[in-house]
Amino acid sequence: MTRREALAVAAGCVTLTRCSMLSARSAVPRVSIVRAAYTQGIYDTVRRLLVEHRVDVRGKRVVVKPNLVEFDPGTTINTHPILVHAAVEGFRALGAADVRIAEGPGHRRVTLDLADAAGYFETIPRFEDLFTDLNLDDVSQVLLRDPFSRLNSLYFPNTALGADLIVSLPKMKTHHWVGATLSMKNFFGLVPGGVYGWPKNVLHWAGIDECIADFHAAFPRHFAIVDGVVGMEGNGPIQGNPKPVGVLVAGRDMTAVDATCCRIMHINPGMIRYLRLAAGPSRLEERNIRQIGEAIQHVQTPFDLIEPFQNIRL
Amino acid sequence: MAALLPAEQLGRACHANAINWLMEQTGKETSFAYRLRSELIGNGAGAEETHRGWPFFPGAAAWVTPTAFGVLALEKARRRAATPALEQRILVGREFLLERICKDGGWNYGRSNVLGVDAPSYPETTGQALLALNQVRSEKLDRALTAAQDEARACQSSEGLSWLQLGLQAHGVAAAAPARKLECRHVMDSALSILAKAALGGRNVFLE
Repeated sequence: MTRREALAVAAGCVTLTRCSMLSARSAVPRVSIVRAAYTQGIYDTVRRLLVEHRVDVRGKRVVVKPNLVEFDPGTTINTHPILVHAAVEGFRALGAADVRIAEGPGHRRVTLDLADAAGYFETIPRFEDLFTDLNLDDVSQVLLRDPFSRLNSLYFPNTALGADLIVSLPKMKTHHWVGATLSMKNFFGLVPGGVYGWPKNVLHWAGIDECIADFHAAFPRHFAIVDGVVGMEGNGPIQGNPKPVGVLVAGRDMTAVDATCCRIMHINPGMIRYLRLAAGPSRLEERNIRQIGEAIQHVQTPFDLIEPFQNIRL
Repeated sequence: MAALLPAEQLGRACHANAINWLMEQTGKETSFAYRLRSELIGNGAGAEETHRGWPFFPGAAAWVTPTAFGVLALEKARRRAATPALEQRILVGREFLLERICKDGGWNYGRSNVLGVDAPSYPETTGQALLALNQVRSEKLDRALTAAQDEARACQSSEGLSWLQLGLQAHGVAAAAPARKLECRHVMDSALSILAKAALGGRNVFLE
Protein backbone atom coordinates (compact mmCIF):
# COMPACT_ATOMS: atom_id res chain seq x y z
CA MET A 1 0.00 0.00 0.00
CA THR A 2 1.38 3.41 -0.94
CA ARG A 3 1.54 6.33 1.47
CA ARG A 4 -1.25 8.02 -0.47
CA GLU A 5 -3.44 4.97 -0.22
CA ALA A 6 -2.71 4.66 3.50
CA LEU A 7 -3.74 8.28 4.01
CA ALA A 8 -6.92 7.71 2.06
CA VAL A 9 -7.72 4.75 4.25
CA ALA A 10 -7.05 6.72 7.41
CA ALA A 11 -9.06 9.72 6.28
CA GLY A 12 -11.97 8.19 4.52
CA CYS A 13 -12.18 4.70 5.79
CA VAL A 14 -15.52 3.43 6.91
CA THR A 15 -15.23 0.02 8.44
CA LEU A 16 -18.03 -2.15 7.25
CA THR A 17 -19.34 -5.13 9.02
CA ARG A 18 -22.23 -7.42 8.51
CA CYS A 19 -23.30 -6.57 12.07
CA SER A 20 -24.79 -3.25 11.00
CA MET A 21 -26.81 -4.98 8.33
CA LEU A 22 -28.05 -7.62 10.74
CA SER A 23 -29.17 -5.12 13.37
CA ALA A 24 -31.06 -3.18 10.71
CA ARG A 25 -33.09 -6.22 9.82
CA SER A 26 -33.89 -7.68 13.18
CA ALA A 27 -37.64 -7.08 12.77
CA VAL A 28 -39.91 -8.80 10.24
CA PRO A 29 -39.42 -6.78 7.07
CA ARG A 30 -42.43 -5.10 5.46
CA VAL A 31 -42.73 -4.89 1.69
CA SER A 32 -45.36 -2.91 -0.20
CA ILE A 33 -46.77 -3.88 -3.56
CA VAL A 34 -48.83 -1.11 -5.15
CA ARG A 35 -50.32 -0.79 -8.61
CA ALA A 36 -48.90 2.11 -10.60
CA ALA A 37 -48.58 3.60 -14.07
CA TYR A 38 -46.25 6.19 -15.58
CA THR A 39 -48.78 8.99 -15.02
CA GLN A 40 -49.15 11.94 -12.67
CA GLY A 41 -50.73 9.58 -10.15
CA ILE A 42 -47.33 8.04 -9.44
CA TYR A 43 -46.33 11.13 -7.40
CA ASP A 44 -49.06 10.46 -4.86
CA THR A 45 -48.38 6.72 -4.93
CA VAL A 46 -44.70 7.19 -4.05
CA ARG A 47 -45.49 9.70 -1.31
CA ARG A 48 -47.95 7.29 0.28
CA LEU A 49 -45.33 4.53 0.10
CA LEU A 50 -42.82 6.63 1.99
CA VAL A 51 -45.36 7.54 4.67
CA GLU A 52 -46.48 3.93 4.95
CA HIS A 53 -42.89 2.85 5.66
CA ARG A 54 -42.36 5.76 8.07
CA VAL A 55 -39.26 6.90 6.22
CA ASP A 56 -37.88 9.72 8.36
CA VAL A 57 -35.60 11.92 6.30
CA ARG A 58 -36.13 15.26 8.03
CA GLY A 59 -32.90 17.21 7.73
CA LYS A 60 -31.17 14.25 6.09
CA ARG A 61 -29.15 13.87 2.89
CA VAL A 62 -30.87 11.49 0.49
CA VAL A 63 -29.33 10.00 -2.64
CA VAL A 64 -31.77 8.57 -5.15
CA LYS A 65 -30.06 5.93 -7.30
CA PRO A 66 -31.94 5.02 -10.51
CA ASN A 67 -30.81 2.40 -13.00
CA LEU A 68 -29.37 4.04 -16.13
CA VAL A 69 -27.81 1.42 -18.36
CA GLU A 70 -28.11 2.00 -22.07
CA PHE A 71 -29.52 4.30 -24.72
CA ASP A 72 -33.10 3.21 -24.98
CA PRO A 73 -35.86 4.97 -26.86
CA GLY A 74 -38.49 3.21 -24.75
CA THR A 75 -38.77 2.68 -21.02
CA THR A 76 -37.62 -0.90 -20.76
CA ILE A 77 -33.95 -0.70 -19.80
CA ASN A 78 -33.73 2.36 -17.59
CA THR A 79 -35.75 3.43 -14.55
CA HIS A 80 -38.57 5.63 -15.80
CA PRO A 81 -37.83 9.35 -15.18
CA ILE A 82 -41.29 10.07 -13.76
CA LEU A 83 -40.65 7.57 -10.94
CA VAL A 84 -37.28 9.20 -10.21
CA HIS A 85 -38.90 12.63 -10.09
CA ALA A 86 -41.72 11.31 -7.91
CA ALA A 87 -39.14 9.94 -5.45
CA VAL A 88 -37.24 13.25 -5.38
CA GLU A 89 -40.46 15.17 -4.74
CA GLY A 90 -41.57 12.63 -2.14
CA PHE A 91 -38.41 12.93 -0.08
CA ARG A 92 -38.46 16.72 -0.37
CA ALA A 93 -42.03 16.76 0.90
CA LEU A 94 -40.93 14.69 3.89
CA GLY A 95 -38.39 17.35 4.82
CA ALA A 96 -35.10 16.00 3.46
CA ALA A 97 -32.36 18.62 3.63
CA ASP A 98 -30.87 17.54 0.33
CA VAL A 99 -32.05 15.11 -2.33
CA ARG A 100 -29.61 14.21 -5.10
CA ILE A 101 -29.95 11.85 -8.01
CA ALA A 102 -26.80 9.84 -8.59
CA GLU A 103 -25.74 7.04 -10.89
CA GLY A 104 -22.57 5.50 -12.29
CA PRO A 105 -23.49 3.42 -15.35
CA GLY A 106 -21.41 0.32 -15.89
CA HIS A 107 -21.38 0.21 -19.67
CA ARG A 108 -21.47 3.78 -20.87
CA ARG A 109 -19.19 6.66 -19.92
CA VAL A 110 -21.52 9.39 -21.17
CA THR A 111 -23.93 9.43 -18.23
CA LEU A 112 -25.59 12.77 -18.99
CA ASP A 113 -26.27 11.74 -22.57
CA LEU A 114 -27.81 8.51 -21.28
CA ALA A 115 -29.97 10.49 -18.89
CA ASP A 116 -31.04 12.84 -21.67
CA ALA A 117 -31.99 9.97 -23.97
CA ALA A 118 -33.93 8.37 -21.11
CA GLY A 119 -36.01 11.55 -20.70
CA TYR A 120 -34.53 12.71 -17.37
CA PHE A 121 -33.75 16.25 -18.55
CA GLU A 122 -37.24 16.63 -19.95
CA THR A 123 -39.07 15.24 -16.92
CA ILE A 124 -37.00 16.45 -13.95
CA PRO A 125 -36.63 20.23 -13.60
CA ARG A 126 -33.01 21.35 -13.08
CA PHE A 127 -31.89 17.77 -13.51
CA GLU A 128 -28.27 18.68 -14.15
CA ASP A 129 -28.07 20.60 -10.86
CA LEU A 130 -29.49 17.64 -8.94
CA PHE A 131 -27.35 14.98 -10.56
CA THR A 132 -23.99 13.48 -9.63
CA ASP A 133 -22.16 11.18 -12.03
CA LEU A 134 -20.85 8.60 -9.57
CA ASN A 135 -18.33 7.38 -12.12
CA LEU A 136 -16.53 10.72 -11.89
CA ASP A 137 -17.18 11.69 -8.26
CA ASP A 138 -14.41 12.05 -5.66
CA VAL A 139 -13.82 8.71 -3.95
CA SER A 140 -12.66 7.29 -0.62
CA GLN A 141 -11.30 3.85 0.10
CA VAL A 142 -13.49 1.65 2.23
CA LEU A 143 -12.25 -1.49 3.94
CA LEU A 144 -14.53 -4.51 3.64
CA ARG A 145 -14.32 -6.55 6.82
CA ASP A 146 -15.32 -10.18 6.34
CA PRO A 147 -16.36 -9.65 2.71
CA PHE A 148 -18.27 -12.16 0.61
CA SER A 149 -16.15 -11.34 -2.45
CA ARG A 150 -12.41 -11.62 -3.02
CA LEU A 151 -12.04 -7.88 -2.49
CA ASN A 152 -10.65 -6.49 0.75
CA SER A 153 -11.44 -2.89 0.01
CA LEU A 154 -13.33 -0.78 -2.48
CA TYR A 155 -13.35 2.84 -3.55
CA PHE A 156 -16.80 4.40 -3.30
CA PRO A 157 -17.99 7.86 -4.38
CA ASN A 158 -18.08 10.42 -1.59
CA THR A 159 -21.63 11.39 -2.58
CA ALA A 160 -22.80 7.87 -1.73
CA LEU A 161 -20.65 7.59 1.41
CA GLY A 162 -21.96 10.90 2.70
CA ALA A 163 -25.64 10.06 2.24
CA ASP A 164 -27.88 9.40 5.23
CA LEU A 165 -30.13 7.29 3.03
CA ILE A 166 -29.56 5.70 -0.36
CA VAL A 167 -32.71 4.94 -2.27
CA SER A 168 -32.41 2.19 -4.83
CA LEU A 169 -34.76 2.74 -7.78
CA PRO A 170 -34.08 -0.18 -10.10
CA LYS A 171 -36.02 -1.64 -12.98
CA MET A 172 -37.57 -5.08 -12.47
CA LYS A 173 -35.49 -7.16 -14.90
CA THR A 174 -34.08 -10.57 -15.56
CA HIS A 175 -30.28 -10.76 -15.72
CA HIS A 176 -28.25 -13.12 -17.89
CA TRP A 177 -25.56 -13.67 -15.23
CA VAL A 178 -27.33 -13.50 -11.85
CA GLY A 179 -30.94 -14.36 -12.74
CA ALA A 180 -32.67 -11.15 -11.67
CA THR A 181 -31.49 -7.57 -11.28
CA LEU A 182 -33.45 -5.62 -8.67
CA SER A 183 -32.70 -3.21 -5.82
CA MET A 184 -29.52 -4.92 -4.59
CA LYS A 185 -27.89 -5.39 -8.00
CA ASN A 186 -28.65 -1.72 -8.70
CA PHE A 187 -25.89 -0.84 -6.20
CA PHE A 188 -23.31 -1.89 -8.83
CA GLY A 189 -23.84 1.67 -10.05
CA LEU A 190 -22.42 3.01 -6.79
CA VAL A 191 -18.98 1.76 -7.80
CA PRO A 192 -16.97 4.39 -9.68
CA GLY A 193 -16.04 3.64 -13.28
CA GLY A 194 -13.37 6.30 -12.92
CA VAL A 195 -11.51 3.86 -10.67
CA TYR A 196 -12.64 0.46 -11.92
CA GLY A 197 -13.08 1.26 -15.61
CA TRP A 198 -16.00 0.29 -17.79
CA PRO A 199 -17.75 -2.17 -17.45
CA LYS A 200 -16.27 -2.56 -13.96
CA ASN A 201 -14.90 -5.96 -14.86
CA VAL A 202 -12.87 -6.25 -11.69
CA LEU A 203 -16.16 -6.77 -9.86
CA HIS A 204 -17.17 -9.50 -12.27
CA TRP A 205 -13.92 -11.34 -11.67
CA ALA A 206 -14.28 -10.85 -7.91
CA GLY A 207 -17.68 -12.55 -8.07
CA ILE A 208 -20.83 -10.70 -9.14
CA ASP A 209 -23.11 -12.28 -6.53
CA GLU A 210 -20.53 -11.80 -3.80
CA CYS A 211 -19.96 -8.16 -4.76
CA ILE A 212 -23.72 -7.49 -4.70
CA ALA A 213 -23.85 -8.88 -1.15
CA ASP A 214 -20.83 -6.74 -0.19
CA PHE A 215 -22.43 -3.54 -1.55
CA HIS A 216 -25.61 -4.33 0.35
CA ALA A 217 -23.59 -4.59 3.55
CA ALA A 218 -21.59 -1.48 2.71
CA PHE A 219 -24.66 0.75 2.55
CA PRO A 220 -26.99 -0.40 5.34
CA ARG A 221 -29.04 2.84 5.38
CA HIS A 222 -31.13 2.17 2.33
CA PHE A 223 -34.65 2.09 0.95
CA ALA A 224 -35.90 0.50 -2.26
CA ILE A 225 -38.63 1.28 -4.75
CA VAL A 226 -38.57 -1.14 -7.69
CA ASP A 227 -39.95 0.07 -11.02
CA GLY A 228 -42.13 -2.84 -12.04
CA VAL A 229 -44.57 -0.79 -14.06
CA VAL A 230 -42.86 -2.12 -17.16
CA GLY A 231 -40.05 -4.59 -16.48
CA MET A 232 -37.83 -6.65 -18.74
CA GLU A 233 -37.96 -10.40 -19.35
CA GLY A 234 -35.76 -12.81 -21.33
CA ASN A 235 -32.16 -11.82 -22.02
CA GLY A 236 -31.96 -8.94 -19.57
CA PRO A 237 -30.69 -6.55 -18.40
CA ILE A 238 -30.22 -4.95 -21.85
CA GLN A 239 -31.38 -7.21 -24.64
CA GLY A 240 -34.61 -8.52 -23.16
CA ASN A 241 -38.22 -7.68 -23.94
CA PRO A 242 -40.62 -5.30 -22.19
CA LYS A 243 -42.83 -6.94 -19.57
CA PRO A 244 -45.71 -4.88 -18.21
CA VAL A 245 -46.50 -5.73 -14.59
CA GLY A 246 -47.98 -2.43 -13.41
CA VAL A 247 -46.54 -2.33 -9.90
CA LEU A 248 -44.06 -0.62 -7.62
CA VAL A 249 -42.47 -2.76 -4.90
CA ALA A 250 -40.98 -0.93 -1.92
CA GLY A 251 -39.47 -1.45 1.50
CA ARG A 252 -36.58 -0.82 3.86
CA ASP A 253 -35.11 -4.33 3.59
CA MET A 254 -33.71 -4.80 0.10
CA THR A 255 -33.41 -8.56 0.44
CA ALA A 256 -37.11 -8.76 1.28
CA VAL A 257 -38.04 -6.35 -1.51
CA ASP A 258 -36.03 -8.34 -4.04
CA ALA A 259 -37.43 -11.66 -2.80
CA THR A 260 -40.94 -10.27 -3.27
CA CYS A 261 -40.09 -9.03 -6.77
CA CYS A 262 -38.78 -12.50 -7.60
CA ARG A 263 -42.08 -14.05 -6.56
CA ILE A 264 -43.96 -11.55 -8.69
CA MET A 265 -41.68 -12.53 -11.61
CA HIS A 266 -42.34 -16.20 -10.76
CA ILE A 267 -38.70 -16.74 -9.80
CA ASN A 268 -37.65 -18.67 -6.70
CA PRO A 269 -35.73 -16.11 -4.58
CA GLY A 270 -33.91 -18.95 -2.84
CA MET A 271 -32.24 -19.72 -6.17
CA ILE A 272 -30.77 -16.22 -6.48
CA ARG A 273 -27.30 -16.58 -5.04
CA TYR A 274 -26.75 -12.99 -3.90
CA LEU A 275 -30.04 -13.06 -1.99
CA ARG A 276 -28.99 -16.24 -0.22
CA LEU A 277 -25.62 -14.69 0.64
CA ALA A 278 -27.07 -11.47 2.00
CA ALA A 279 -30.15 -12.79 3.76
CA GLY A 280 -29.83 -16.52 4.29
CA PRO A 281 -32.55 -18.86 2.99
CA SER A 282 -35.00 -18.56 5.90
CA ARG A 283 -35.33 -14.77 5.70
CA LEU A 284 -36.31 -15.09 2.07
CA GLU A 285 -39.32 -17.26 2.85
CA GLU A 286 -42.68 -15.67 2.13
CA ARG A 287 -43.93 -16.23 5.67
CA ASN A 288 -41.01 -14.18 7.00
CA ILE A 289 -41.89 -11.09 4.97
CA ARG A 290 -44.93 -8.98 5.81
CA GLN A 291 -46.59 -8.02 2.54
CA ILE A 292 -48.58 -4.78 2.37
CA GLY A 293 -50.96 -3.70 -0.39
CA GLU A 294 -51.59 -6.04 -3.29
CA ALA A 295 -51.17 -9.76 -2.71
CA ILE A 296 -48.35 -11.35 -4.71
CA GLN A 297 -50.81 -13.76 -6.33
CA HIS A 298 -52.88 -10.86 -7.70
CA VAL A 299 -49.99 -9.27 -9.55
CA GLN A 300 -47.83 -12.31 -10.31
CA THR A 301 -46.58 -12.11 -13.90
CA PRO A 302 -44.22 -14.90 -14.98
CA PHE A 303 -41.13 -13.48 -16.70
CA ASP A 304 -39.53 -15.40 -19.58
CA LEU A 305 -36.16 -16.81 -18.52
CA ILE A 306 -33.25 -17.70 -20.78
CA GLU A 307 -32.23 -21.35 -20.93
CA PRO A 308 -29.46 -21.33 -18.27
CA PHE A 309 -31.92 -19.93 -15.72
CA GLN A 310 -34.88 -22.27 -16.23
CA ASN A 311 -34.00 -23.88 -12.90
CA ILE A 312 -34.77 -20.73 -10.92
CA ARG A 313 -38.44 -20.81 -11.88
CA LEU A 314 -40.73 -20.78 -8.83
CA MET B 1 -0.69 11.64 -20.56
CA ALA B 2 2.60 13.41 -19.88
CA ALA B 3 4.21 11.37 -22.64
CA LEU B 4 1.56 12.64 -25.06
CA LEU B 5 2.50 16.27 -24.47
CA PRO B 6 5.07 17.99 -26.71
CA ALA B 7 8.58 17.51 -25.29
CA GLU B 8 9.28 21.22 -25.79
CA GLN B 9 6.41 22.17 -23.48
CA LEU B 10 6.96 19.49 -20.87
CA GLY B 11 10.75 19.72 -20.79
CA ARG B 12 12.91 17.16 -22.59
CA ALA B 13 14.19 15.38 -19.49
CA CYS B 14 10.74 15.12 -18.00
CA HIS B 15 9.33 13.89 -21.31
CA ALA B 16 12.07 11.27 -21.63
CA ASN B 17 11.25 10.03 -18.13
CA ALA B 18 7.59 9.76 -19.07
CA ILE B 19 8.41 7.74 -22.18
CA ASN B 20 10.74 5.43 -20.25
CA TRP B 21 8.07 4.87 -17.59
CA LEU B 22 5.50 4.12 -20.28
CA MET B 23 7.80 1.60 -21.93
CA GLU B 24 7.92 -0.35 -18.66
CA GLN B 25 4.16 -0.54 -18.08
CA THR B 26 2.02 -3.49 -19.08
CA GLY B 27 -1.22 -5.12 -17.97
CA LYS B 28 -0.84 -7.40 -14.98
CA GLU B 29 -2.47 -10.24 -16.94
CA THR B 30 0.74 -10.59 -18.97
CA SER B 31 2.90 -11.38 -15.94
CA PHE B 32 4.04 -14.96 -15.59
CA ALA B 33 2.54 -15.27 -12.11
CA TYR B 34 -0.87 -14.02 -13.22
CA ARG B 35 -0.95 -16.27 -16.28
CA LEU B 36 0.06 -19.29 -14.24
CA ARG B 37 -2.60 -18.52 -11.65
CA SER B 38 -5.27 -18.08 -14.36
CA GLU B 39 -4.41 -21.46 -15.80
CA LEU B 40 -4.41 -23.15 -12.39
CA ILE B 41 -7.80 -21.78 -11.31
CA GLY B 42 -9.29 -22.70 -14.66
CA ASN B 43 -9.94 -19.26 -16.16
CA GLY B 44 -8.13 -20.48 -19.25
CA ALA B 45 -7.33 -16.95 -20.33
CA GLY B 46 -3.72 -16.98 -19.22
CA ALA B 47 -2.22 -18.46 -22.34
CA GLU B 48 -3.94 -15.89 -24.55
CA GLU B 49 -2.43 -12.91 -22.82
CA THR B 50 0.62 -12.50 -24.96
CA HIS B 51 -0.14 -9.07 -26.40
CA ARG B 52 0.86 -6.45 -23.93
CA GLY B 53 -1.45 -3.50 -23.59
CA TRP B 54 -1.43 -0.77 -20.97
CA PRO B 55 -3.46 -0.54 -17.77
CA PHE B 56 -5.21 2.56 -16.42
CA PHE B 57 -2.83 2.46 -13.46
CA PRO B 58 0.19 0.31 -12.57
CA GLY B 59 -0.62 -3.19 -11.42
CA ALA B 60 -4.06 -3.30 -13.05
CA ALA B 61 -5.20 -5.14 -16.19
CA ALA B 62 -4.73 -3.67 -19.67
CA TRP B 63 -7.66 -1.91 -21.37
CA VAL B 64 -8.30 -0.48 -24.83
CA THR B 65 -8.26 3.21 -23.85
CA PRO B 66 -4.89 3.35 -22.04
CA THR B 67 -3.38 1.10 -24.68
CA ALA B 68 -4.52 3.42 -27.46
CA PHE B 69 -3.00 6.41 -25.68
CA GLY B 70 0.16 4.48 -24.86
CA VAL B 71 0.63 3.71 -28.55
CA LEU B 72 -0.05 7.31 -29.57
CA ALA B 73 2.45 8.68 -27.04
CA LEU B 74 5.19 6.27 -28.11
CA GLU B 75 4.47 7.00 -31.75
CA LYS B 76 5.07 10.70 -31.11
CA ALA B 77 8.38 9.80 -29.47
CA ARG B 78 9.30 7.51 -32.39
CA ARG B 79 8.68 10.29 -34.89
CA ARG B 80 11.24 12.42 -33.05
CA ALA B 81 13.82 9.67 -32.51
CA ALA B 82 13.01 6.13 -33.65
CA THR B 83 14.55 3.21 -31.79
CA PRO B 84 13.98 -0.55 -32.24
CA ALA B 85 12.56 -0.74 -28.72
CA LEU B 86 9.99 1.95 -29.45
CA GLU B 87 9.06 0.29 -32.75
CA GLN B 88 8.59 -3.04 -31.01
CA ARG B 89 6.50 -1.67 -28.14
CA ILE B 90 4.20 0.19 -30.56
CA LEU B 91 3.82 -2.97 -32.64
CA VAL B 92 2.90 -5.06 -29.61
CA GLY B 93 0.43 -2.44 -28.37
CA ARG B 94 -1.26 -2.39 -31.76
CA GLU B 95 -1.44 -6.19 -31.80
CA PHE B 96 -3.25 -5.95 -28.46
CA LEU B 97 -5.81 -3.64 -30.03
CA LEU B 98 -6.29 -5.79 -33.13
CA GLU B 99 -6.74 -8.79 -30.84
CA ARG B 100 -9.61 -7.07 -29.05
CA ILE B 101 -11.84 -6.17 -32.00
CA CYS B 102 -15.41 -7.07 -31.12
CA LYS B 103 -17.63 -9.30 -33.17
CA ASP B 104 -19.49 -6.20 -34.45
CA GLY B 105 -16.22 -4.70 -35.78
CA GLY B 106 -15.55 -2.00 -33.17
CA TRP B 107 -14.00 -1.97 -29.70
CA ASN B 108 -15.39 -2.44 -26.23
CA TYR B 109 -13.46 -1.15 -23.21
CA GLY B 110 -11.68 -4.42 -22.60
CA ARG B 111 -12.12 -7.92 -23.94
CA SER B 112 -14.36 -8.63 -26.91
CA ASN B 113 -16.00 -11.48 -25.03
CA VAL B 114 -16.63 -11.55 -21.29
CA LEU B 115 -17.78 -14.70 -19.51
CA GLY B 116 -18.99 -16.16 -22.79
CA VAL B 117 -20.98 -13.10 -23.89
CA ASP B 118 -19.92 -11.05 -26.92
CA ALA B 119 -19.25 -7.51 -25.79
CA PRO B 120 -20.72 -4.64 -27.86
CA SER B 121 -18.46 -1.93 -29.20
CA TYR B 122 -18.69 1.69 -28.10
CA PRO B 123 -18.02 4.86 -30.11
CA GLU B 124 -15.44 6.29 -27.69
CA THR B 125 -13.25 3.20 -27.59
CA THR B 126 -13.70 2.47 -31.29
CA GLY B 127 -12.51 5.97 -32.17
CA GLN B 128 -9.54 5.77 -29.80
CA ALA B 129 -8.45 2.38 -31.13
CA LEU B 130 -8.71 3.55 -34.75
CA LEU B 131 -6.66 6.60 -33.87
CA ALA B 132 -3.90 4.41 -32.41
CA LEU B 133 -4.05 2.08 -35.41
CA ASN B 134 -3.30 4.79 -37.95
CA GLN B 135 -0.86 3.58 -40.63
CA VAL B 136 -1.89 -0.03 -39.92
CA ARG B 137 -3.25 -2.07 -42.83
CA SER B 138 -5.35 -5.10 -41.96
CA GLU B 139 -8.55 -6.79 -43.13
CA LYS B 140 -9.81 -6.44 -39.59
CA LEU B 141 -9.46 -2.68 -39.95
CA ASP B 142 -11.63 -2.55 -43.06
CA ARG B 143 -14.45 -4.03 -41.01
CA ALA B 144 -13.66 -1.68 -38.13
CA LEU B 145 -13.93 1.37 -40.38
CA THR B 146 -17.35 0.24 -41.58
CA ALA B 147 -18.44 -0.38 -37.99
CA ALA B 148 -17.17 3.06 -36.97
CA GLN B 149 -19.27 4.72 -39.67
CA ASP B 150 -22.34 2.83 -38.44
CA GLU B 151 -21.56 3.96 -34.91
CA ALA B 152 -21.19 7.58 -36.07
CA ARG B 153 -24.64 7.54 -37.67
CA ALA B 154 -26.20 6.08 -34.52
CA CYS B 155 -24.04 8.04 -32.09
CA GLN B 156 -25.85 9.69 -29.17
CA SER B 157 -23.08 11.62 -27.45
CA SER B 158 -20.76 14.42 -28.48
CA GLU B 159 -17.79 12.67 -26.87
CA GLY B 160 -18.44 9.48 -28.81
CA LEU B 161 -18.78 11.31 -32.11
CA SER B 162 -15.59 13.31 -31.55
CA TRP B 163 -13.54 10.17 -30.94
CA LEU B 164 -15.02 8.55 -34.03
CA GLN B 165 -14.20 11.63 -36.11
CA LEU B 166 -10.62 11.62 -34.81
CA GLY B 167 -10.23 7.88 -35.39
CA LEU B 168 -11.74 7.82 -38.86
CA GLN B 169 -9.81 10.90 -39.93
CA ALA B 170 -6.61 9.07 -38.94
CA HIS B 171 -7.47 6.64 -41.75
CA GLY B 172 -8.35 9.40 -44.21
CA VAL B 173 -12.09 8.91 -43.85
CA ALA B 174 -14.65 11.54 -42.87
CA ALA B 175 -17.14 10.33 -40.26
CA ALA B 176 -20.79 10.09 -41.25
CA ALA B 177 -23.14 12.64 -39.71
CA PRO B 178 -25.13 11.47 -36.68
CA ALA B 179 -28.89 11.13 -36.93
CA ARG B 180 -29.44 14.09 -34.59
CA LYS B 181 -27.53 17.11 -33.34
CA LEU B 182 -25.40 16.21 -30.32
CA GLU B 183 -24.86 18.63 -27.48
CA CYS B 184 -21.53 19.28 -25.72
CA ARG B 185 -22.37 18.76 -22.05
CA HIS B 186 -19.19 19.89 -20.34
CA VAL B 187 -15.73 21.34 -20.95
CA MET B 188 -14.23 17.98 -21.91
CA ASP B 189 -16.90 17.49 -24.58
CA SER B 190 -16.24 20.95 -26.00
CA ALA B 191 -12.46 20.54 -25.96
CA LEU B 192 -12.65 17.19 -27.71
CA SER B 193 -15.10 18.56 -30.27
CA ILE B 194 -12.61 21.34 -31.09
CA LEU B 195 -9.83 18.78 -31.58
CA ALA B 196 -12.07 16.66 -33.79
CA LYS B 197 -13.01 19.66 -35.94
CA ALA B 198 -9.32 20.54 -36.27
CA ALA B 199 -8.65 16.97 -37.41
CA LEU B 200 -11.34 17.29 -40.05
CA GLY B 201 -9.52 20.42 -41.18
CA GLY B 202 -6.29 18.44 -41.53
CA ARG B 203 -4.65 18.91 -38.12
CA ASN B 204 -4.93 15.85 -35.87
CA VAL B 205 -3.01 16.75 -32.71
CA PHE B 206 -2.74 13.11 -31.67
CA LEU B 207 -0.78 12.30 -34.82
CA GLU B 208 1.58 15.28 -34.94
